[in-house]
Order: sequence, then structure tokens, then C-alpha cells
Amino acid sequence: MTRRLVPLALMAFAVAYLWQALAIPLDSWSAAETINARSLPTIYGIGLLVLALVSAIRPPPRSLPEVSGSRRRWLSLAAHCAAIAGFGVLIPLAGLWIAVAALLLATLVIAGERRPTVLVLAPLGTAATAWLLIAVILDVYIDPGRWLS
Amino acid sequence: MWEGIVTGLATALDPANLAWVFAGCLAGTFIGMMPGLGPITAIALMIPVSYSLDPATGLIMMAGVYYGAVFGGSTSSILINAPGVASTVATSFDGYPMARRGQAGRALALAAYASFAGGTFGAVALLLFASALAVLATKFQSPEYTLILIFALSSIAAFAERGQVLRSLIAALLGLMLGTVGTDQSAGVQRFTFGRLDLTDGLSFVLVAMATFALAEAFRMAVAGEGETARPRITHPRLHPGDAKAVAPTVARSSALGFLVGVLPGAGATLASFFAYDLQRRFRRGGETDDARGIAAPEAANNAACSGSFVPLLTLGIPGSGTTAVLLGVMLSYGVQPGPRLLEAQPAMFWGVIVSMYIGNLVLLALNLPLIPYLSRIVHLRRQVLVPFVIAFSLLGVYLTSLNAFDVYLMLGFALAGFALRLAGFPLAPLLLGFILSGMLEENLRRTALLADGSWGFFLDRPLSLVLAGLCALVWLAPLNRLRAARQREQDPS
Repeated sequence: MTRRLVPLALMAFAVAYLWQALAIPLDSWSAAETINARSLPTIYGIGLLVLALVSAIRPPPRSLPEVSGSRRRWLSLAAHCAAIAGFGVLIPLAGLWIAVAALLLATLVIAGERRPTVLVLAPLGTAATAWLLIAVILDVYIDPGRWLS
Repeated sequence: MWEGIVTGLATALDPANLAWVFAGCLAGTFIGMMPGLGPITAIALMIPVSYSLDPATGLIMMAGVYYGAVFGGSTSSILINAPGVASTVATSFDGYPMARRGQAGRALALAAYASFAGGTFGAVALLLFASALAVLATKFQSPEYTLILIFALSSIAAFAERGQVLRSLIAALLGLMLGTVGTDQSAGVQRFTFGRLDLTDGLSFVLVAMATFALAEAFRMAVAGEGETARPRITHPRLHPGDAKAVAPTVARSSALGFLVGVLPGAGATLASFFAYDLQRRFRRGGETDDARGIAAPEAANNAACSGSFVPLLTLGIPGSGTTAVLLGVMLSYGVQPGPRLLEAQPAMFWGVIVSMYIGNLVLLALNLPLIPYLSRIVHLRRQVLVPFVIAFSLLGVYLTSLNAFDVYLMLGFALAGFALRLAGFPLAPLLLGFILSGMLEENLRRTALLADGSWGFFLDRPLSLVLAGLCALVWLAPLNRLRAARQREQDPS
């Protein structure tokens, strides 16, 4: 399924990219240039469209990388993605260090880790080490987040 | 040149730099041993650490990470038949069966000594040729740069694995397209930014590299789940009597081949290791030492190729592989512009990086032989622990380079796209290469067009550009020839 879906998605991407490429604003001086801001994006867009079309028509390769997870594993991937998106939401609210600890805890649980020592020590230890290295030793200012400021 | 070597030795032997080479080799070996994590991921994961160092030290550490990761990959290839990197796949062909026969220590020792010999050959060849090539490269102008960039991109197709030409080209095109996001440098117009300020400076290479390699690999591991791995007994790494004599000619031949293949843009360590293994098979004599040579050949070749891939990077500023593309990104983020002027402008860095490669090889040998039995426990680290750490470190690394939460979402999107491409059999190294070369290609092509006043014949006016145009044509003909040969074989199997 993915073998066919990816070339189709690439074609859709190429069309959208071309659409945007042709909409790049040019002043009269730039428009007169042999190679302007639109030229290479247009060439790339057409190139991808043609190659994706060829890829969609051609038979898929016999040997593909082995990724044959169960439905549970695909759900686990979705949960990992949700945890990453949550990390992005949490950074401006709770600050980087709490967000990193929360991300690590969430991904460990999603991945199936159940040992309490690992679940406690890995997130706290990683966040503390990163804070010590970056904020204390390298003296990089990291926004503490809206909740703590 | 000798003056340069002395400068390089002084830089590389600085205690702080030595300590960072050591740390880089250790970290590279450690990361490279983890199945699926290769030199690109290792270097990408170490970028946040490198930012705290001065440019010369940072690059010296990264060279150590590169070598360490390539060597680490051989360990997981030999012990559990799970190559950490594509360039060590050929090592597993004879290495894993040897380990299963209870000779894991011998296989690891063969890999370590052959890597050292290949790396040493590569470093010496780099010392000899780099300055000569840098002098030649000063004659390059924008038409030559444009052609050599086209050559590097064309080589992706020529050197792609069988059946991967089309996918490699698509990946390279995607990389070129991603490179067009942001403010156009010549006209100052916004391209593909959708009015977002976060995108006006373009996409960060750290983000693209971490998303498509580290995070996409973590996703693959999460979906693939825990695999069954055999655990061979790891004895102290030691060669058998007669091994050194038996593998010496193989190592010499493979090192020379590896370096030459490594110099070619787009070829790299993977192709070098397969070429060397294939060549070794043709020289098979039968007997006990055949598999020893089968391990030594790809290991010597891939390490020599690592040094070879630094030739176009340091002398022309053009990365020949995905790994050197990431290294170029690291250099640019330091404000260091590799190329013909690097030798004149920053000789300490130029020679320091080259000399530290040799020192890195020595460190690897000294470090890995006694530590292999302990370090190799990493290959048994459970994925349920490995995946969360890869995710956390890659996101932390990207956030720290920009301090912008928007990059987290961007990275998630790119990682999912990278994962889908991998699932459909697309190689991702050409994508990274295309992304890095995109800006350079556009800049040089525009400059050439301005110089030539719109006449494309300008590419053929200078002898050097004529030679490069010929090389590009040859590279384009290579896949067509392969296709024709394959069709002929299909029509006439006998």
C-alpha cells in the first residue's frame, strides 16, 4: 500500500510545490534574469512530478526494508508522535527541562518500559544532566516557561 | 606540506583536542554499535555538544565520531548480524558466521586492525593529496563549481544501489526542494515560507538531518518492535596465528580502492566496502583464512573511504556523502567555509582535522580492542529504552540550536515523511546531500548566468569546465549502461 501511496503523495507534493513556485513574486528586473528566484524551484517541481509519475507506474522493488509491525506497534508510533507534539506544547508552558523529563517518561511508558527505577531515574537524571551541562556549565539562557516565570 | 603537517600535529596533539578525539571516538563507537544508528545520526546527535567547543576542536571531535561510528557499526554487524551502518553490511557476510562459530573475538580483532590499516592509509593519502587538490581548486570559478555540484548530484544516480536509481534521484530532488525554503539570497523574496517568520531563514540542516535520520530511525525501531538477537560469546579480541600475513595484501588492495571510491562524490564508504568485498571474493583461495579476508576487505575499504570523502569536502567545500554533508553543515554553522581558501585562511584547522584523523585511528585501536567486550553490551540494549532516548536527544538537540518550539512540530512532520519514504524504499542520504547542495548550486548557477550574460556556452569555454562537463556526461551514461546490461542479461540469461 505504502509503495503506491508514497509516489502518489510525492506527485501531490510536486504539484503543490510547483503551484507555490510559480507564485513566487518577481520584480521586473528579476523576471528578466536568465535564472531567477522561480527558475530552479520550477525545474525541481517538474522534475519531481515526472520522476514520481515514473515511480508510480513502475513495479515496486522486490526487496523493501522490513517494517512489519503489528497494529499495536503502529498505535505505539501514533502515541510517540502525540508525545512529541505534547513536548512542543509543553516547552513554552513548563520550560524545556520539565518538558524533556515528561517526554522521556511518556515515551518510555509508550515503548513498554515498566521498571519504576528506570521510569523515575531516566527522565529526572537526563533532564538534570542536560540542565547542568547547558544552563549551568555553558550558561545558556533557557526560558523557564510561563508556569514557572 | 611538511609545515602544514607540523601545524596539524601541534593542533591535533593539543591535550584538549586529544581528549575530544578520544571522547568523539568513544561516543561514535557507542552510537554506531546501536543497530540502525549510523555515522550521520551519531554526528547529528553530537552537534549540540560541538557547539560548546571552538571550531577546530569541534571538527576534530566530529572526525572522531565519524570513525568511531563506522567502527561501532562493524561490531553490531559481527556480533548480532545487525549492521549499525550500511557501510558495514558487507562485514556481516563473513563476520557474523565467524562469530557464531565461537570466534567473535577474532572477527572483532580483524575488523579493528583492518579498520586501523585502512584509516591510516586514507589519512596518509589525504595528507599527500589534499594540499595539491586545494591548489587546483583555487582555479575553480562559478561555472566549474556549478558543474562539480551537478557532478556530485548526478553521481547519486550513478552510484546508487541496484534498483535504487530512481528513488535516489527523487530523494535528491526532495532535498534540493527543501533547500529552496526561505529568503532568496539574490532577489530577497520569500519562497515557500507561507508568511511564517520561523521559515524566513530557511530550514536548519540540523533539523532536517535529525528528523530524517535519528527520529525517523526511532520511529522505525518503534514499529519494528523487539527483535530476537543471538548473543555470541565475546572473547578477548585476538588474531589467530597467520591471520596478519593472510590479510595483509587484501587490506592494502582494499584500502587503495576504498580511498579512491571515497573521493568520488556520491560514492562513499558503503560502495567502497561492497566493491572491496566483491573484489576479495574474486581472489578467494579456499581455506580457513578466506572469511578473515572477507572481514578485512570491507573494513579497510570503508575506513579508507571515510578519509577519501574528506578530500572534496575540505578542498572544494562540496560534500561527497550524507555524512560529510552533515559535517559541512557543522562547519558552516561555525562560520567556517571549507574550500580552496580554507588551507590559506585556517591552516591550523585544515591540517589539524587531517592529522587528527590518523590520531583518531590510533585512539580507536587503543580504545576498542580492550573495551570491545564491555562496549558491545550496548548491542543488547532494549529498544524500549533506546527509542525514547534517541527521540529525546534528537528533539533536545534541535530545540537547543533554535530555541523555537515550532521546530519541534516541523521535525515531527519531517520525521514522519522520512519514515514513510524509508518504508517505501527511498534512501535518505541523497535527500540530505541535495538539501546541503541546493543553496550552493543555485548561487553558482546564477553567478554563472550573470557572467555569461545568459549564454550557456560559457560552461564549455574554459578547459577545466569542459573536463567537468565531460565527467557529468559520463556519470549520466553509467546508469543507462547498467540498465542496458541488465536488459541484455534478462534477454539472454545464459
